[in-house]
Amino acid sequence: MKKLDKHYDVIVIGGGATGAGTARDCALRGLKVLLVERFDFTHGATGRNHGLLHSGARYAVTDRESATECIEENMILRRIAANCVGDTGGFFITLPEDDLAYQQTFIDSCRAAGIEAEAIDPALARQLEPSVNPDLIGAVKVPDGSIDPFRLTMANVLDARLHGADVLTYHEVTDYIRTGNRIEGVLMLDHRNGGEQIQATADVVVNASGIWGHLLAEKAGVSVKMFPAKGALLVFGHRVNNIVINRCRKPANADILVPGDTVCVIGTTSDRVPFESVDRMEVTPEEVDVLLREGIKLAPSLATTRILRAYAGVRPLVASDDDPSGRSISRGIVCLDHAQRDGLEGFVTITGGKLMTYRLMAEWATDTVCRKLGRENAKCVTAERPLPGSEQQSSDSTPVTAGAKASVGRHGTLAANIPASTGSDRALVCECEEVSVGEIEYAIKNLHVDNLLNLRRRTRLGMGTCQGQLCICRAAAILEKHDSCVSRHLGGIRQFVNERWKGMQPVAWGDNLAEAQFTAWLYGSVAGLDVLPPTEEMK
Amino acid sequence: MDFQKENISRHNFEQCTKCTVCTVVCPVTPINTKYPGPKQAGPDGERYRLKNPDFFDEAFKYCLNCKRCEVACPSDVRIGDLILSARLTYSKGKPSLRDTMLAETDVMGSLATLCAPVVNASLAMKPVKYVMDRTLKIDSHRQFPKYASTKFETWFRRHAAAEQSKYSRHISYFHGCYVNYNYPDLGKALVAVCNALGVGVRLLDRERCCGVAKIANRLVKEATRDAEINIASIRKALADGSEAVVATSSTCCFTMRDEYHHVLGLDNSDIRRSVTLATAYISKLIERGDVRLVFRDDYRRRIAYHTPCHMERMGFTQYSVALLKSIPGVDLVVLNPNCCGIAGTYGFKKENYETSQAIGSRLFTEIENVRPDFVATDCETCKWQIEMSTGIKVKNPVEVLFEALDLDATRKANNLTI
Amino acid sequence: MKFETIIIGAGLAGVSAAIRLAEQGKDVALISAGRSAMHFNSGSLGLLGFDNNHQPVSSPVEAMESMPDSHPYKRFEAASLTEFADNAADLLRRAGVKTVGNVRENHMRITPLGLCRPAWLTLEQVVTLEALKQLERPHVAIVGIAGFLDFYPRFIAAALEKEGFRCDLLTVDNPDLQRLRKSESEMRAANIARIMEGDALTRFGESVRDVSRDSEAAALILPAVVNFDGDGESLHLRQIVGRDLFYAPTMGVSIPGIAMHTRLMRHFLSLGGRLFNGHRVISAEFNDDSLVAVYTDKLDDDALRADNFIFAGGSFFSRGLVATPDEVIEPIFNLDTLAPSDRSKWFDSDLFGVQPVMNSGIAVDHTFRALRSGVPVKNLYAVGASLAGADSLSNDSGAGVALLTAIAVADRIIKLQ
Repeated sequence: MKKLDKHYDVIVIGGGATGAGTARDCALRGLKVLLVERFDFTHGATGRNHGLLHSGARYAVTDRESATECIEENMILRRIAANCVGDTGGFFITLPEDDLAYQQTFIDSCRAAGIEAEAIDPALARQLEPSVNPDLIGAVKVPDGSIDPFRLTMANVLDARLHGADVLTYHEVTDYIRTGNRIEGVLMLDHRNGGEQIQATADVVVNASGIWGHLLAEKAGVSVKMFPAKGALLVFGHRVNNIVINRCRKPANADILVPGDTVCVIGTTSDRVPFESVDRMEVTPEEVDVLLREGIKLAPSLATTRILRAYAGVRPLVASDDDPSGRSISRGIVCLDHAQRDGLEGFVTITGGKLMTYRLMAEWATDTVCRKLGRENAKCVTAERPLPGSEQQSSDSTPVTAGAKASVGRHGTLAANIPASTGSDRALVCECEEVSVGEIEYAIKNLHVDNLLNLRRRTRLGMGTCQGQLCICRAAAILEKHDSCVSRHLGGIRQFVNERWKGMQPVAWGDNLAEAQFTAWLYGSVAGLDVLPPTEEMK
Repeated sequence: MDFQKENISRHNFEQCTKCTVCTVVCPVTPINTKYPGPKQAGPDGERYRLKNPDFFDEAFKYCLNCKRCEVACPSDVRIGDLILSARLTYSKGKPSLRDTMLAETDVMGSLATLCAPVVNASLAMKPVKYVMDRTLKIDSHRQFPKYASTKFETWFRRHAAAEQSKYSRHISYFHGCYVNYNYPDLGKALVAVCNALGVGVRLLDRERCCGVAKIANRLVKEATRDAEINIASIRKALADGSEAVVATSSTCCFTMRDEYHHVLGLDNSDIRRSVTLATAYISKLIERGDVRLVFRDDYRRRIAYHTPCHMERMGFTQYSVALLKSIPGVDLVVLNPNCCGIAGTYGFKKENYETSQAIGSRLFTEIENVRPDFVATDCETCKWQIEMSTGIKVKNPVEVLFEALDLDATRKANNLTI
Repeated sequence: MKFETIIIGAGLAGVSAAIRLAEQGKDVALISAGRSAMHFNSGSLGLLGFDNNHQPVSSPVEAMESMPDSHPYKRFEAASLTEFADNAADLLRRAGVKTVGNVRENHMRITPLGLCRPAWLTLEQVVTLEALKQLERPHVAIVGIAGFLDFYPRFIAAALEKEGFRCDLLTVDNPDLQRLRKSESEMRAANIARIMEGDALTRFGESVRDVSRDSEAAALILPAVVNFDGDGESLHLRQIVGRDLFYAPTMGVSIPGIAMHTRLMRHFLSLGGRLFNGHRVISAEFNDDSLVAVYTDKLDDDALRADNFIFAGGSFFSRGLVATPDEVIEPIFNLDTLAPSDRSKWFDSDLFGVQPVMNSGIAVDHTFRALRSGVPVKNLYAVGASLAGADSLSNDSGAGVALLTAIAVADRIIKLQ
């Protein structure tokens, strides 16, 4: 067994937004940090949600506390993560079948929570957002937006690293090093290097692993009761809307349509699922049906818009400590110092919450860590300091090519580091999402990229209309230059195509089935990858 | 499921499977590397423009609007329309004086016809060409089509209009700017041929330029105004008993049939089917057995037919080809479908001259190899380009019919006593 | 307009049927709704590359006989398959599509990603494992093009090294290529091929010759980025470079595939065939059990009439078949289709496995007449990828099904007339 030389102040388990945010906060406060992720960053719920920058309005009526947290974090994220945020604004629309009286309750609740909410004329709403259901009888304008969780998480990782944090992906924590009632480190399995076992030690271990936190707590001998709630979503081929559209009623299925980057996303469903299923979420025909049926009520054109894929994530809902039955489930943040709660030293769990409140969760977790380490003087600066890429954009260099424009959108000020001086650098690998060779090279060098799926999450490679056709082998060939392992990348292409197919399959009809046939033919018959043995899912 | 039966997106951009076939047929991409190509400029770029109009690229102006991408697309994506619409929607700045001049074919034509000899002489003079090249950026290699001293409309009113009422059936002729100002002989040929077949010819009450040049040069308001006038005139002509509105220019015909709706967003659905090309109209008369054609015994010609881009897109190629083939003395070679490179006013612009000629070179070489007596084509700008670049005469199929028909015998065969 | 036979779809199946009929002097119209899947073909045609257990096939004819009854091959007399296949190869040859390979034994083509795969016929300029094995020494040089993203020399080298070849990896560049590289999206095989004419082709040859000067390879493998629609370009290049040249296919739109398309289409037109290019058939007129006319999106109410019709509209990619969320339909004639009725049985989670939905298609009788409400349409035949039971993807039989069914139907039409 290998042991890492360095002793850390803190090991953060989980490469979602919360884990990355916690690693960043800890690093900014001067702690020696190791961030550990089982697969790739954003592999869990962070990468499988709406990408909605909640104004908090959705919770205003039912959960004032969450609503207030949301609007506060919303304003903070607009400052610190400008490059990850799309300032679209949002509507809460009332349809003829809804109770218009609810609108006033809604507006009052929003205002009480500190959320600007203004009723506007339905005609104006139709004019501002032509895709909205023309039958609407009411509309309220709120400061919703979109947020790109992949970029957000990566920016946190980058800043953590910039401030000295070490980062390991594809390292799964399998057990803890413990002495008596103290956790002193973790045992990890390196998924990439033949499952090698590695030890790392730290004064505090933070469990920031979303729904998997339940299991990681169990391994530490403490109990955090969580309830996996599956949410399914559909991605449409282009931005049908430019303003977020919500239903003005009590939260229900498929009542939010979010424009994000080049697509828009309808969601979600919400169903309790067994723990055993959280590693293989599949979208059912019933879910597709309800998402469409309800989505069409928000924007009728969804009935005839190409759907690119379906996906599902798992919300980590937490039962309150005083209600072990789980009936009282909170969407709020849960930060547990297990020394106080369970008498287990050196172990902190941060869970519950939402993507929107990841920063606040990180702040709470880091506060707890600092308190345990006696470093209370280290103050949190994450509410003020911009994330890498989101610093004030200098306006003197306007990108010319489509690839350059798209990469500025993705990487913000960091796009300046993308090689673009030669034609070969600027050549597009992914033409749907305008990803250049330079951007791929940049991602490989700087953004923890080892396989095609990592590249997708860092750059949007293969996330466009064709869900990865010519771009996959082009990107694989660039990856291959770095490790000279052809067979690995051939297998990688096959895995990547199947990862895309998994999302396409629930909506494989019309143009999407034509696309899938084309892809299967190109990579199967023409390129010959069908003779390679099927491999496990790329993660 | 009662929805998701079909996918409806603007110009079908989301039906694109990213197969890249469009880029194989684009005449511009291998020649002008500033042009991002039909797939990038069209369906790929459209998704980004929906997100942010800044993704519009002024380099889309290098698109010829030839629509060969649309003909090639296996998924019915209207790629050319996407690019053209993007130019009309997002391009910044007003069209230049040069572009406006080139596009205002009506105004320019009216002015020029008034003083045709002077204009023709001066457009051909070196100093004038030099000034045009330098200040207006109209390429000095270009020969402007000569302006006729008498407009076709004037000739028609003076010499033809009166006798048309003698015929029992009628069409309205959309002559277009070119026939009106530069080449009335083609219009005269059409009248003669139609009359010989027993069809009287009328003109529209008000005919404006079809608008193709204005659309290409982003004069949307002006193009729309002209289009609305034309649509109204066509409606009236049909109501007054014309069985069709016939053009001799494939581009005019295509613009009115397709671009009015696809690009300008006008509703032309009630008249679209009645707007047709002369060769299509005549072919249908023949097929229905309505008319008989008697050709001259002594007509022997080797003709190379060039399919204009808009003809190909309109889908009417077979009408002209079949008609020419049916002429007994004609040895017809159908040239490979390649763009001639001029694309209306595109080739007149100094910045496009080289691209324009490079695109056409394949066609020019093929024509030279075929060694025809002349080239036949349905588009006037193809005619200018081919004549300038190969020195070989180019004729409209209607002119060929006019030459090849024994008009008197044809009139007799159609039992005309008029 | 009236013709003897109208063929809907101008892919390999449609154009082959058209040629077969036109060669017999028939008056044929071919309706093409956009370019066909042939454009992505890498220069090799499969008759049957894999059996139903996805095992590679060495002798296709024998394996064809063992296909399930639903497969189009089973509508042929077993004894006639060889003859049909040879007829197909002859048809291609007459159109100028010169190939190596035969029906008795598959050879191995080399895919754009460097895998070896059984094939029936391969364009003679395109590399095969067998051709390389004929070289005087097992040593080749693979010449990549700087900045060209759709050719994978290292992947091909990895495959050839496994077969015992020594591979030199070279990269060629010159000002013509540099100019093309200024475009961020258009450095594609087809665009390179389009500038490779005249002097530029000579300069390219010289660049290849110079870059390979020190290599002792017995042959060079170049990406297929040189025009193949005539023989001139490849011969010219061979002369300049001064040693054996093979072309390896690239990903995406492929020059060998375009060459096949171009040569076949040119042959059809030279036989006097009529092409309706860029027309989509949108409706049809029936008289009892006969098809009378079809209408296209371009010709308004002008009917296209014929004595016989052949539907070669392809599968989902070409929109010959359309899948709605609930069913697989043939959208023009509303012909009967065979498809798993339950959508949940359409797919396999491995895209490269057998996808039952890809096996769906038009139901036909024993003479390939399409069924409509259970009754064969007397004069409408279906051929190629739109046929039910032809899962060309998992069997690598797309070209074979296209050519054999096209020829069978064309011959039947000729015989009946």
